[in-house]
Amino acid sequence: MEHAMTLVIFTFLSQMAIGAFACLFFIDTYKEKISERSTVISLITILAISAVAVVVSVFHLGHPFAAYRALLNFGASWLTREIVFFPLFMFFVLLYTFFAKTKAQKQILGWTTVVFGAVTIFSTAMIYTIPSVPAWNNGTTLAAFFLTALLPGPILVQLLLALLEKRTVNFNLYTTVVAFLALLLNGVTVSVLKSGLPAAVESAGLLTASPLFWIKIATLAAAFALAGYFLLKKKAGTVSTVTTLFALVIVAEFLGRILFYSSGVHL
Amino acid sequence: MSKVSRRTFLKGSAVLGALAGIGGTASSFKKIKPAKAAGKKKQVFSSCPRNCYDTCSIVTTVEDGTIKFVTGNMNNTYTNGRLCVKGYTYPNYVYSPDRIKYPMRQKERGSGKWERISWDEAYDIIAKKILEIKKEYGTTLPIALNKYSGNFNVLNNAVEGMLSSWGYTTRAQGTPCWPAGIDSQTFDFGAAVANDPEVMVKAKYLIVWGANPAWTSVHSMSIIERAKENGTKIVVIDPIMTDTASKADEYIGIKASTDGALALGMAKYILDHNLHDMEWMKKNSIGYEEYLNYLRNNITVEWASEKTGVPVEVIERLAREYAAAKPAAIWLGYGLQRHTNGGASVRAIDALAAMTGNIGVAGGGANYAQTECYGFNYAVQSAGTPPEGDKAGGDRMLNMNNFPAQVLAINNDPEQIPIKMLWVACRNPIAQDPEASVSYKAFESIDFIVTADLWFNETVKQSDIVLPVSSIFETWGLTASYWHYWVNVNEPAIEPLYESKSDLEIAMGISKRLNELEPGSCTYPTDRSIEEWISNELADDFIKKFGFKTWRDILEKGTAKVEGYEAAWSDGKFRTPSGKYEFLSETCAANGHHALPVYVEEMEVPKDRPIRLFSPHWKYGLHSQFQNLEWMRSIHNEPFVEIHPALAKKKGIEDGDMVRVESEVGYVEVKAKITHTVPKDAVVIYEAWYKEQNFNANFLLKATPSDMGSYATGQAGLAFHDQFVTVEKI
Amino acid sequence: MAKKQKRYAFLINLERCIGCNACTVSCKSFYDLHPSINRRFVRETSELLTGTPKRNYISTSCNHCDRPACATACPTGAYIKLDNGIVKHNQDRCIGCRMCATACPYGVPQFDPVKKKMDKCDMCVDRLEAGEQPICVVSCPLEAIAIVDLNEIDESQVVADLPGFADSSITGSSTRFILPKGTTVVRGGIKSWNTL
Ligand SMILES: Nc1nc2c(c(=O)[nH]1)N[C@H]1C(S)=C(S)[C@@H](COP(=O)(O)OP(=O)(O)OC[C@H]3O[C@@H](n4cnc5c(=O)[nH]c(N)nc54)[C@H](O)[C@@H]3O)O[C@H]1N2
Ligand SMILES: Nc1nc2c(c(=O)[nH]1)N[C@H]1C(S)=C(S)[C@@H](COP(=O)(O)OP(=O)(O)OC[C@H]3O[C@@H](n4cnc5c(=O)[nH]c(N)nc54)[C@H](O)[C@@H]3O)O[C@H]1N2
Ligand code: SF4
Ligand code: SF4
Ligand code: SF4
Ligand code: SF4
Ligand code: SF4
Ligand SMILES: [Mo]
Repeated sequence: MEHAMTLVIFTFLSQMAIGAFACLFFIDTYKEKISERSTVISLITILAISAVAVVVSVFHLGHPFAAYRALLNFGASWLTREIVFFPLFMFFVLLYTFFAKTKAQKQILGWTTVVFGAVTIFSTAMIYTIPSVPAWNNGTTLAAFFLTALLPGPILVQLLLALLEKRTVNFNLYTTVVAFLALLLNGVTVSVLKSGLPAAVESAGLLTASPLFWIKIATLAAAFALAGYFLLKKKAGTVSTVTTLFALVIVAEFLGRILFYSSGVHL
Repeated sequence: MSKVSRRTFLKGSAVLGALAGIGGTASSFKKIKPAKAAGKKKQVFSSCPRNCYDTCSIVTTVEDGTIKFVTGNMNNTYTNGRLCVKGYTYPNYVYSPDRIKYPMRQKERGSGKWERISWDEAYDIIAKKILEIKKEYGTTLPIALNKYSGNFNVLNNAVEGMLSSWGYTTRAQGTPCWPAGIDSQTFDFGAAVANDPEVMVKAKYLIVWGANPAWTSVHSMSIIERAKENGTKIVVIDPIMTDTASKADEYIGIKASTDGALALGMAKYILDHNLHDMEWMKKNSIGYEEYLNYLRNNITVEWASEKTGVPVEVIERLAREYAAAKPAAIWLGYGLQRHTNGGASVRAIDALAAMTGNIGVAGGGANYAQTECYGFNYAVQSAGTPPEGDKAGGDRMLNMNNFPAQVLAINNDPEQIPIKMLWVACRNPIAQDPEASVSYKAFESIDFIVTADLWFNETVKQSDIVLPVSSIFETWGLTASYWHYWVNVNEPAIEPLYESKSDLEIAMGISKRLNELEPGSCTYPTDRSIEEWISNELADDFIKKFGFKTWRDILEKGTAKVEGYEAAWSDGKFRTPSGKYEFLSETCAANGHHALPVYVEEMEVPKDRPIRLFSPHWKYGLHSQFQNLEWMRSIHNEPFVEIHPALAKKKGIEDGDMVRVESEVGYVEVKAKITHTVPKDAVVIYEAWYKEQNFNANFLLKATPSDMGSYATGQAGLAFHDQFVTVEKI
Repeated sequence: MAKKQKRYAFLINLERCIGCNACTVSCKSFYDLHPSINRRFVRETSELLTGTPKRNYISTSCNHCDRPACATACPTGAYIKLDNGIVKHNQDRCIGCRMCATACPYGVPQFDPVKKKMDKCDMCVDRLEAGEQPICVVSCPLEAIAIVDLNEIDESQVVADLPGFADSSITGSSTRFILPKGTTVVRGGIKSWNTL
């Protein structure tokens, strides 16, 4: 269990960081709405989260100091690819943070970073899209991992900006839609598992029998409702609303990831 | 999970120094070329001394004084270079951190507060206790021995010799294994002598009747598989669809305890269709007319079918096939006779084999057991004779199969000389005796209990002193099988670990102390080396049987076969009073049974406990041995009760549920395992000792005696499988 | 025509296997494995494999797959598929990430809690190369395990799949099984059923 926890933390943090960067890059480069100070602090926060993710993931290894050997199988192993791409993502975040001055530079570095981020998430998802765990061996894994980037990531940025710039960027439409998709994905996942191999059916049972699953649904629903409410009211919401939203999606996605590992029944 | 692996084990251990000399130990063969420096790696022959049909000859590889691997000895064609799963755990057995390492004294029984004492102290405490008892009672009769089958190395009979050398004592007599059947075969043949099991391949037809060799005799199972591939038809008769039955061509799920009816029904059909061997009977037997008349007048196939639950046409077909196949063999197992009519069933089966002329034929036989290989001198035992002046004049015998109740009866009766001291060796009575709750009371009624063992089992926990016994790899031994015809030697492979000693060394140690305290109080010799003792065990004519010059010749191959048993009784010289096979046995009648192999009614199923309990032997253990070891636990570590899906459904029990199984004398709580392989009206719990688990099948067992056993083994057997229970979901 | 490369594989005879685990323990002993690790596994398979109920077992170790999932998952490239079919694990490379254990459909690789690395059956390749049979093969008291060359055997006499054994097609498991034969079962009815 404790070794699965390192994976929960790594995948969750890395995906959130990637989503956060993509969001920040979009606002920074295309909307040009934020101060340089806020951008740099936010980017450093993203780097820090990524660094924590990497450090935690190394502790998953029996031999942390031999971690470099994990680079040796790029040709076949999605894990190697993930281990190559995520540091590349981080490296480009670093470049973006300190060397992207012009809009063109920002665009080139930013898109490169986003691509590495996306490829990282794709690689992570492919690690788990394997026949030996039928519950994982379908598109829901990829969808879930990208949703972790797309939901807590931007809300993290929203929160950072709210704190740094003392104003709230209005993401309500986006959040409402993505939270709805996240909710939908749960339904889709359960029905995909139920119609799968016996091990997947068992996973579905474990999933829906877990109180964590229902807490996750409740928090997602609350996030959806909260964002939806402000969307209808056409208000951006306050720092505390964003904080609440962030707390809700973090809980939802973190629990989701714990459930992902704990209900993955091996063949 | 222990972190002690074999390689790291010795590093921290004090025995390292002692190991240096091992490489030089004279051993007259070298099977492998030493890989590195000479003497660093060697192979020696060991022998598995457990109470097991297979009594394997083992090759033990020792490197730097540490056992690296054990496997079967190829020189022994029965062992065939392979061991069973228990045999392969021996390295773990030897180096297990759980072993008893030093003599210890327990503050209060069951408290687990053990205090290490020296051997001198242990000998002193024990010797003083013996002298004290002798002084108070004028006899050593208050000292009891309970020893059985933990180790069948002939040198372990030193324990019996040791007690005799103190005086007359109280003994747990008899055997739980085979008593009823031994009596039957003694009545019928004059002794139990089975064909060499390696000849089973020659059978055209083989009935395995109430034995489960797939678990209890794997090497015979291999022979059976070979026979099957040669075209032998294999029929297994057992209430349980065992692993043996699962390999059969045909499985007969007989109603328990009705085997006699099946045998008689088959015999009746054979007689009616003139398929019997009249010539053999006339030449070799007495009482056949009476037997045939009994069949004519009392038996019908329909009756046999009604009794056994086996359809008429199946009984008829079995009878036809068995009578037609020449030769046809029957293997009678010990499970078969663990019933109130078990001895009678065995006699009926013997008669079936005899009337078809299958006795004295290679590939035939009514094969149950043999003791022909025990050609030892039993010097270790006879070395001890009661010193003069013991007023008892003889040992007092208790039935091993009802030991706890008989001890209690004596200790509760002021008229009798009480039991004050108990010596336990090669025996785990609390785990293996019936009525475990009575065992605890019996132990409580005894002042002083000494147990010699390797493990802190439930019996040790209820003792005052525990003495650490060495494993087979740390001492000498000689073993013979009660099934195949090989005799094996066991050479020491390593120095004794910790402060462990063999039972023989313990016998000598106590004798020495007794004579120091009171000269002449003990007759046991103290001046012989273990090698001398072993050389005394092989009688000259026994050595000659193998074509050896000296006993040491056996060290060349580790094993030697007694020849001439391909077809037991082929000389037609039976050891009965008449010298013939006795369908009608006066001896049997004189012992309170029927003279003829008639049907004896099975025990009635009690109305309030309608489910039969079987508690047969377990594949990952040998009684209370092996299942406790870490390697075994890594494969299996949870007791269970097998229940048929229909019964489970009726009781609302699902696979994995905890259930309470309750008998007249106690209960156990275990996990349910649902399986189609057991009868619908019975449950199966395999007897075993699981480390640190509160499980003991014998809480359920009542000491109901079987019909026979007292003639040849001194005491009646135990109806282990005539036990009835209720089963409820917890 | 050039002689075809060997494809070593385990052939397990279910008609002989009694589920005793002697193979598991002899392997554990010979290689002095950590007590918690087994390179061979003996499981019960369906009691109804041949129709009438009876006890059936499958003894398997690594299946030395044609498309080993362990090798694809392993980030260090610690697994190599040798020309003779054996999938060998190089413990020197292993960093103990356990990805292979997750990826192997048969749950074969085991984590050694002391070495903090994976452990797996290598078909006793050193012994095979020295002309000796694997330890489990020579230890099985029922002689139920054999090493065969998949290029030589008659595939119609064996199967690659059994209930309780993950689909062989996922990774191209090389293990083959000889199915047990049926046993004629005679069992009478229970008269006292209602009183139970
Ligand atoms: N692995 C292992 N091997 C052992 C032992 C062990 O504990 N474990 N113990 C050793 C010892 S001491 C002994 S005595 C032998 C015993 O060896 P076996 O006689 O082979 O063993 P059991 O398991 O006692 O009983 C055999 C079968 O008898 C069946 N049986 C019970 N009642 C009846 C009946 O009424 N009719 C028929 N036809 N069958 C019946 C049981 O279902 C069981 O399958 O094994 C020796 N070998
Ligand atoms: N319910 C139920 N109970 C049964 C049976 C059954 O079928 N069902 N079967 C019965 C049968 S057939 C038998 S044979 C008995 C067997 O019962 P036991 O004779 O008690 O046999 P084990 O449990 O094999 O061994 C007893 C002890 O001997 C120890 N020992 C081993 N080697 C040595 C040694 O060299 N010296 C000393 N001093 N001790 C040693 C072992 O560690 C173990 O603790 O159980 C009987 N009990
Ligand atoms: S327990 Fe029996 S089969 Fe196993 S090694 Fe010992 S003698 Fe051989
Ligand atoms: S040792 Fe042989 S018979 Fe026993 S489980 Fe292994 S393969 Fe089956
Ligand atoms: S069985 Fe598992 S470990 Fe063995 S080769 Fe196949 S995938 Fe790899
Ligand atoms: S645990 Fe070792 S062998 Fe397995 S995937 Fe990781 S590095 Fe490769
Ligand atoms: S082939 Fe060798 S390593 Fe593999 S299971 Fe058998 S004994 Fe163990
Ligand atoms: Mo026994």
